[in-house]
Amino acid sequence: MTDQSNAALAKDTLLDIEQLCVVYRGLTRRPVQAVADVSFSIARGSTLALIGESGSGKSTIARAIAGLGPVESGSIRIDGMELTTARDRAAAAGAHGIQIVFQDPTSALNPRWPVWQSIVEPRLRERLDRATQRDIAADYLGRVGLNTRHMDRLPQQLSGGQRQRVTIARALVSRPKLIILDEAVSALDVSVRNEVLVLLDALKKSEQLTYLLISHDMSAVAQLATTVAVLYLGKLVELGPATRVIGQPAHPYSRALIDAVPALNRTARQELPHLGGEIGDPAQPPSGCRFHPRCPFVMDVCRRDEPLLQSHHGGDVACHRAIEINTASSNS
Amino acid sequence: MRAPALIVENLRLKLCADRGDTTLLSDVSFEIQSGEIFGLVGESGSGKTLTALAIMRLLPPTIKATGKVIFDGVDLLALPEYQMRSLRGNRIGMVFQEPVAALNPTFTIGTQLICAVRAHHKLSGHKARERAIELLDMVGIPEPRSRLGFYPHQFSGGMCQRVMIAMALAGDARLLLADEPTTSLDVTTQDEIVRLLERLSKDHGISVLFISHDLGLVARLCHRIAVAYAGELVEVGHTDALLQTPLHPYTRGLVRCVPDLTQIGVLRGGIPGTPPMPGHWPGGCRFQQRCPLAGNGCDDAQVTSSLADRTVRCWKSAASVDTASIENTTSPTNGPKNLARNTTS
Repeated sequence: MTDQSNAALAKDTLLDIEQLCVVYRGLTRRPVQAVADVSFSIARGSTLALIGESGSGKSTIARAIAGLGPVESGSIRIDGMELTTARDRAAAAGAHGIQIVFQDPTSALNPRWPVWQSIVEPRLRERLDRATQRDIAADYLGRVGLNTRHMDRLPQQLSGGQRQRVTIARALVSRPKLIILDEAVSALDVSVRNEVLVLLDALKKSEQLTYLLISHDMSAVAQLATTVAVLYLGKLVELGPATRVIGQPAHPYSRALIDAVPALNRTARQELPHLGGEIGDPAQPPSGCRFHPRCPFVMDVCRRDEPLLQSHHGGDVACHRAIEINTASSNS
Repeated sequence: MRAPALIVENLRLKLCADRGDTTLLSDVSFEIQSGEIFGLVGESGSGKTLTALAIMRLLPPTIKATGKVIFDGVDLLALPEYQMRSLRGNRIGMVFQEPVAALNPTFTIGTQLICAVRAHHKLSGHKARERAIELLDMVGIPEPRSRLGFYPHQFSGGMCQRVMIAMALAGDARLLLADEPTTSLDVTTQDEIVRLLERLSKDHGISVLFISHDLGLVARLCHRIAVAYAGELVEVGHTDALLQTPLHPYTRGLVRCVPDLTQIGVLRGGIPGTPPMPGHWPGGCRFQQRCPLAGNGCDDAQVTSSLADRTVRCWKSAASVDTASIENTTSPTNGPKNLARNTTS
């Protein structure tokens, strides 16, 4: 890691992940290294977006942070507190202010509980009386743009967007510092999705939140993210400010990923040869650069040596040919 | 100009129940030219999928369809079921959203594909196998011969969707109904499927009805677009024109929701509110509850006004139809869809 990013790290880091490795071991298959040596940190009050295709390890990282998935090695620190050594990592994550909102609100809510009960569930052990519980639920419903009319409804009586607002309220009720949004808006219709993004942005300020946004939806990323991390087969290939990574992606994979998004306006840049193939098998990652079998700029060195994250144009890129490629395309 | 591949005229769907009838779709009309990729966009519940199912006549018997669906000069809605069976999957193919769920996990890709081929053509086992290999090759599956023995779980989502498209083409498809074919796929895989559909329409002259909730995607692929809202089409037009000068307030809202990756950290906002459900549609304009322009006159029945290649269902926008289409014919738009204008002009 460079001096510059170290300085930023010291400034006001909420979550700090270092050399995180996650390995899934089955009985029959060979171990799968889903996340390999991933390091990043999230500054307080910012939004870091993790992007990549399915199988890149986005959700694995989210689950590791929330204590819901295994961690092989490395460290996850929130406010300087190490989470990986805790006996009950999920409880530790919750106690230190990490909450997670999942993609599908329908399966995340108990279909037989009225909305208010779902919302106050994280605070059940405070043994509050029913009236206080309902007051809390009403308060948080208001914060997510719903009202007391929705208190006694069952999840099935709400629309998809309203259900997701309820799960956001439930995440807020324990006063978290960090909310992991694991594809939290991906299942919603575009218009509803944008409304929820507006809500999330407002909550970030009013509740002093920090977000880890996991999404394959580049529109959500462009709207919310301050920092973007691009993952490929469990490796971080690019990390930098959102304007830079989305506006001028330096890694060929980031470029291909962002070019594949059907968007209205694009920054004019040389079109990349179309990215063929599919994400490889994490159980047998390719040698050298993991992206090399699909990379249009592949050279011998890419097959042989694994590129390290190096600073490049205000961000970090793991590509042997990053400088070469990007000067070439800006000249033409 | 060749005859359109598909004409849908005043298609209405009614759900008949004991409690009374509910209209699900009212007066949907559009045409798809041969070799054209026609997009149908809208939020969930707007009737996009119902339209496709009605064309295929795959609706449950409780839903009654009226109007006309003319394919190859024949009204599909008036055909007896046995004749429809010879068209369904044969001349008209359909691709659904969940490719992995649509394939049978206990049979190999080859068995399922050969079965589809032999359902439409009287071919020997060997010939059907050759045809299946040809189809897999056509949808861009590498080493098709050896892939025939694979099971669906050995394929990724994108590969399964290619197999589904191959199956939809197993007959002699002239029209492909693609209902959200890329929704569960990664953007990179989505891009591949979109390129495949583009190639099929260009090389084989297959017309495509592409249904999606993603206007950005539809704009990337389709020559013309129809926007559905609460069971009716609110705007139909050429892709460039529709995106540059959306006339209906709802279309304008949708265009604003399309990702714009040049603006980072700018919240785009959505269209407040949710679309009304069937049975709760207001009289007059169905968008009025969410419309920023709503006012007097919106309670009256909204007539569609059309000029040149543009149709819009909003009386406030009707006046601007003229100017928009004039602008459109005089100024060459800089979008990638030049083909769009050539197909009908």
